[in-house]
Amino acid sequence: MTGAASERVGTALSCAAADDRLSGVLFLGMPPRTLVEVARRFADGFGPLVVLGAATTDDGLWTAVDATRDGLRIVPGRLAADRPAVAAVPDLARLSLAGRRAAVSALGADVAHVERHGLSVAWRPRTRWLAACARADAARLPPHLLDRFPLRIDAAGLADGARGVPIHRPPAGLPVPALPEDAAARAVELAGPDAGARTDLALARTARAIAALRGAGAATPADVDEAARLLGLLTGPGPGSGAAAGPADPVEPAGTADAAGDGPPRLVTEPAGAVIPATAEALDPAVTEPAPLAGASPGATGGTARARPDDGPGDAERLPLRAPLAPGRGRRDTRGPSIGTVRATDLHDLAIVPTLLAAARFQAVRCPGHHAARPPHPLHLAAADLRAHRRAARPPLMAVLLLDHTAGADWPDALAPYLHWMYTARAAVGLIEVGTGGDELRARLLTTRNLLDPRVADALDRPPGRATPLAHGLLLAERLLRRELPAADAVLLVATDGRGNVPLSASRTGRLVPPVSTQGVDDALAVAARIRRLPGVRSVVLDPGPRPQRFLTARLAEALGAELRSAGDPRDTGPAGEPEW
Amino acid sequence: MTIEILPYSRIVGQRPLLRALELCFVAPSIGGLLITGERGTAKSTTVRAFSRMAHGGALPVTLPINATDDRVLGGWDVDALMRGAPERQPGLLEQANGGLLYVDEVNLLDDHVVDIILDVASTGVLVVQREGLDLPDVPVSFTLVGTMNPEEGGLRPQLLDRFGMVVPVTAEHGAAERQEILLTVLRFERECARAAADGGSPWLEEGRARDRRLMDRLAAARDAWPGVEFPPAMAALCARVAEAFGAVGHRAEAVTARAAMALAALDGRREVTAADVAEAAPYALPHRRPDAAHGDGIGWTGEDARRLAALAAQA
Repeated sequence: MTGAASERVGTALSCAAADDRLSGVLFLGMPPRTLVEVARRFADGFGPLVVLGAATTDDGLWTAVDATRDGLRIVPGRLAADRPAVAAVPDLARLSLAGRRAAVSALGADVAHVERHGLSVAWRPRTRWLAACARADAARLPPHLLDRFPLRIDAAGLADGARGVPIHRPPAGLPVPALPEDAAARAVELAGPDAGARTDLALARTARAIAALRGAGAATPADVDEAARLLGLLTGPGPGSGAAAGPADPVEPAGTADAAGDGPPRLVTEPAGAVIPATAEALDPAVTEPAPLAGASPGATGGTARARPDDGPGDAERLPLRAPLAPGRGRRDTRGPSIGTVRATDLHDLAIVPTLLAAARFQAVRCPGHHAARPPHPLHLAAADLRAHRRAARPPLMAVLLLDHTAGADWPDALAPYLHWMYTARAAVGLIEVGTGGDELRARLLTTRNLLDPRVADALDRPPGRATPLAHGLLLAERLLRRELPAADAVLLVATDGRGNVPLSASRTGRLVPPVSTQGVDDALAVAARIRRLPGVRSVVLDPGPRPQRFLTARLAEALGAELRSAGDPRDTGPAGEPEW
Repeated sequence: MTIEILPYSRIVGQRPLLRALELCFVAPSIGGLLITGERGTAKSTTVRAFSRMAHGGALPVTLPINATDDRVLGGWDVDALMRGAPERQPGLLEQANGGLLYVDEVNLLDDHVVDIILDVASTGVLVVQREGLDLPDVPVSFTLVGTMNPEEGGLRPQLLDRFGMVVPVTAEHGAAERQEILLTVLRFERECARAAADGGSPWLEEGRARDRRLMDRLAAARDAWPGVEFPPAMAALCARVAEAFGAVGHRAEAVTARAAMALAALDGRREVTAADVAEAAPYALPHRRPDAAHGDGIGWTGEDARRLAALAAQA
């Protein structure tokens, strides 16, 4: 295991060294410290090393201050340079917002731009980004960011650290190998029908790099196969084994293959021995089984397991790429982390160094001969120089919507007044879905700055599944509310018929063990009771309308301490169509 | 170091996007273009290639998501200030005057930068009153082109409406097209290396020659555009189409009309036809429908195309 992981990591680094367009390599399951060691070895003889993390800021990335006898100059920063360099990200899931945005705008781009503090620079990026991420965190990464890392390598099991990783350089002076049409066709075939051009290119460039490392003038279909194995797009034995290799089969959660499609939701049961892959949401470490690699199944014959984290919607909450709402309503929030600076209008929460830098630009104008004065005298400061920290502000209002797709209601219509209110109130939105396809034993959570996120609309139109993990959905709501309170006020809207038929234990373990009886409902009520005790939460249960077992929503509303409303009841909306709170 | 961009005429596929850029060039009064689509669909490459072709080999004036206010609005030249010489440094909005302002990842821009762009785009006037500068009335006019991946969120409706046209872009999924894209990209990289080593590349030169021929056509169409007749029947059709699709405001029909005139001019004709209106409307409508304001996605379906064709047939 250690040797195989070391080989994969070493091959990926060697390919990145051989082709400057393979500029993003993501190592899944590599410890952060190991990533730094690996990056140092890679950067040796290649270019300067920059380590990025949770404290990385825009100014730290894009600009630098050059202090001279004549004053200060703003010059291009560590990333804004047309020269080979290495950016190391020990934990991509904890990279700051500025770092994530830098990766999206510069990694793999033909051209990058900096327009900051008087500096105007355009260059062709040649920085190699080496990043690591725990497999469980990969689903939280924005797809737009993940897409910038064409090489995603399974690095789990690299127990010896960076020492044993072989990094090779191609023979000097060798021209870039050609890619004949048969190799190009093989790359497109192995990338798969749903892949985009970036995957095709990643495969092709990796194949060329592999050919370059062996001193060949052209890549072959066998090189493409080897590249696909490296990227986790191909399972099966390596060359020379005589066995046929083929594209990896996607993993289907057990129980979905025989979906009837119509009729009332059915409890999902799994055949004995099957394992449902865990999602990124860690429920309770004490009871959650270790997540198997996606693609591993009993009886698989060797080869590299599929290592590419899902490029699809995923179940976990994604990290944002947009800056939070600028604090502009009354008192500035000083509790969040500093994510930049703004011009200050008072002396509250001043950013000292940016203030001094702002003042430094005007010294020669305010005081001719200032820089040559001996002895030196202090900076001449004006009110216009003052800069304050710009903090990651919490939204003033959080709206959490738990949407039960199996309730048999026309939710888009019923929820319209509430959605309109969320939009006009500019509420941050937490959307929890229960009872959809995919991993039917678990709810899925999406958080977004506002209702304009297209994923919210997609969620409203999703078809129902066969199981209703209502308890898990409420558990996700409880966690989200605990995290956001007390910095924000919160409204919890639970749109459901109350028929939760999946116990929490099934959601945690991924296995439903019959008989279930009323355990699902009991678990939901227990979580609801905890939510009731959270301060600052206003809860509403939206009932879909007349049907059997309607008492379940009344019980849920009572447990939550919530108001019970009926979908489509005009008494619950005002003249403007917004809900009457 | 020279930054090489793939010649515009070498771009594979994406015909609607190429057409939209050409229409914006022929008729700048269309008011810009928003390109929205999934990852890896060459949105940025296409815009840069078009700008290179259309604006004398220059890259477009680009507003990146890391931009600070002083670079957007303009401020002092910091190096000159340090020497004691207060010299002004024009901002990006002023640099783009008369040309193209490109905003990559427009849906990731900070809100206050969006507000600045909205303000200038709506008034046509740039006001710079900051850090001791006082320029109350700098007229600016530019074609705003933005690219975005909708997975990361939508745009505020006010900013959405500032883009005259929108074109949703999807990846090419056919194996043959994907293979052609792959081989073209790799060929481009190889030819750039050859040009750097040997001082030139016949493949790149042929692409640039094709670009120059295309530019001649576009420039001729631009000159002809003001003289294209727009019959009252076509104005009525534009209005009916905007009403049928529930377009918010009145920009949809105006943009449709301008784009239809540009299509006629590109085709060498002197009068707009219903077919021109039918081809132009899908660029002007999707982001002005009520659903788009609430993030229901911007798209144009087969059903939309059938409805539009039926309306055009009645004209």
